[in-house]
Amino acid sequence: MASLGGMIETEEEFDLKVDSPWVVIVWNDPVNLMNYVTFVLQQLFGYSKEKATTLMLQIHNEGKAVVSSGSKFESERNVNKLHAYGLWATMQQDK
Amino acid sequence: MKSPFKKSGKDSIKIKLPKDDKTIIADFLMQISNLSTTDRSLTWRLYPPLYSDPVEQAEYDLSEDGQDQRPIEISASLASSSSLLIEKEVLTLQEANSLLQDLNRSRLVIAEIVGVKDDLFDPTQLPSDELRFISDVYSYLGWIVSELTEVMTG
Repeated sequence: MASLGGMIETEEEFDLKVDSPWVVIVWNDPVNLMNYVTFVLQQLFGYSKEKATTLMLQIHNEGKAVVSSGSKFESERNVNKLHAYGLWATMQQDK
Repeated sequence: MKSPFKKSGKDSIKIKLPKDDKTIIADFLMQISNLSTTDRSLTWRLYPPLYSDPVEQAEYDLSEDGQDQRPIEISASLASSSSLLIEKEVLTLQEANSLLQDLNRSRLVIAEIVGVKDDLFDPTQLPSDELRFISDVYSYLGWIVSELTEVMTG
């Protein structure tokens, strides 16, 4: 559907946007230590050491990893908690 | 090098750092506490964007939720950890967790001061003795953060 400056969404696009969960992404950075990142993921999300280590290695090797998903509210809360620990985290809708 | 932290019982952690080291770290924590409310250019790393999309981030910044109280909270936490380090030899797990967060925040700010941009950072290329000293503190804090993390995990 054509739109004025891309501002008008189709009904399908709107439904998709409302229904899609949000994902929290942690990005690699040169300061946070590997064992610290693993600890934070265990602490905040209750992940096992194995799962937290796998995610940490994904962040380190691939530059980023999705560490959680859920509602917009939950994701905002999780990103803020990760920021409090100094991790570089952002959220986006999983489209 | 022997770890400066040791689990003491189930719910506390003993700090065994030399007094001079404690004083240096506490001074840095206090300086960064002051910076966090006065110099956004050096402390921006403490406040990353919430959203991947800059447009959504701009909308969030304009909203009520986006009104940023974090500099004041972070400054208070850093100051509190500075006092804690000087005054206490045994920390509760909650105090140790706050200290860990604040030590890591300090590293994030110091990394900005000395210019750590990637894993290839070379402190020997820094242009002054002052920056090389700050870089030494950055490395030392890395060891402290790592050791405290290990004790908290174990």
